[in-house]
Amino acid sequence: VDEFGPTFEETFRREYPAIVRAVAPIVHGVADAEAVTQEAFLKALVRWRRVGRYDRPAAWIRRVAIRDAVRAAGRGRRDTSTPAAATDPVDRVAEDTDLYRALAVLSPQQRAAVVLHHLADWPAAEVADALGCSEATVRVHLHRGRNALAGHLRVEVEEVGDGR
Amino acid sequence: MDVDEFLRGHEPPKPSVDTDSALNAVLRRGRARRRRRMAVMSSVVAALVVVAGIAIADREAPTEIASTPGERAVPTTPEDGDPAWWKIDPATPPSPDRDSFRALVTRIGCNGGRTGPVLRPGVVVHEDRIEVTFTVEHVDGGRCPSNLPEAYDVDLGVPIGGRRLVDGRCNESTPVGDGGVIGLACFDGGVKWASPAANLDEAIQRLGCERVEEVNSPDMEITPLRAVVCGIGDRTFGVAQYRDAAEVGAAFESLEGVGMRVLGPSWIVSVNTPEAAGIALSKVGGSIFEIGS
Repeated sequence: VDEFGPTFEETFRREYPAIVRAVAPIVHGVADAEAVTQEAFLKALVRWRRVGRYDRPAAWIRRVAIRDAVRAAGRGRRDTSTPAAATDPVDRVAEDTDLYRALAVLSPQQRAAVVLHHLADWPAAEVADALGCSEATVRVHLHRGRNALAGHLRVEVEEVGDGR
Repeated sequence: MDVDEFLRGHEPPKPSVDTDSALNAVLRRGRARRRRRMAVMSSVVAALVVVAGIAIADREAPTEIASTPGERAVPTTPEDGDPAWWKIDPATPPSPDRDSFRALVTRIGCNGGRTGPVLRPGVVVHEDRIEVTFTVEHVDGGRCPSNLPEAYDVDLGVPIGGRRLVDGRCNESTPVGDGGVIGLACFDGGVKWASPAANLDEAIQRLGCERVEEVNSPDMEITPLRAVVCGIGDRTFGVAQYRDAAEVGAAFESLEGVGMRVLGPSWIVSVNTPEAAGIALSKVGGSIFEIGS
């Protein structure tokens, strides 16, 4: 039992892998996803007396992680102040470069909406809560994101057809 | 390939994360951050005390609090002594229905870190403000670490009402932000307290905002009930309303106090420069009881 109490540790063990998985396509990499997710848990830890009393502390942590991920994606660079991810790269499943390349054409908000709704199967309401916007805004992000993705895929098909 | 087909074929990667190592790293950083925060909190407290920025040694707080003796007529002039400035005691904020308040008085000149005995203040009641001017017992000077404040209960003789409490030592000729003690004490025009606005709309009205933009702030960790950016000329104020004092504290904490001033007793936070915070204080009300970096 850690000095911060077992609940934080239980929450961490239960939620950490899932949040990393959701965040990775937004920040284009598992290492950055781990850094962002650890920072979100750290924010929760230092105010755990309050966050731990929430009905769904994991939802608070997920929300912070997603918003930080969107901000990090907007900056387009890795925050060098965060530590290296704890994961051994050898154990890591190969990252989906096709997916990352396609998602790179989207804005950070569109990317987060598409990843969370279409890939992680989050309901639009939950995506809206995580992004801090309305459901209507999420639907706009999804619509524009899908259009941008469709355009990207068309170009890729044409380039393959042209032998490029 | 259409979008749905593409997305179906690209589930998010399932990283084999090392949860134990990650957890240990977070706990380690949490302990370090907590230690750092304790140091920051200590420095905030010190900043309230050490105006000239010189470190002070720990000392006992005074156990007896001086006060204005008995009934007296207003206005009064301060007793002869050395100059001092004052601020509101954050532990006992004033309220409009009270006819007294507790000030924390600090000697301006050097005296080896001691403010010394506080003399009877001058009190001048105006329609819109009450000017209180403090002096402290004369000394012939000493070493110059900044002085610890002394608490003093001021009997105003009349209820505060809607008046502002102002340090009478600050006046229009005081150079704002001159870097000296009086400059710092008077950056807000000498206003130490004003009756807090009841809600955000009243705060906006009192500020006299020329432009008001509602802010949807997903970036804020502690989401306010409502937040606005208020523009007056080329100056901008961020004003947010939270649910209670605990959330105000948490919001302040989440930004580590940078550029923020907690103005109201529980709910208004202004994000801006000290000078702007002073303006907001004089118009919106409350008392500056935290000073960030």
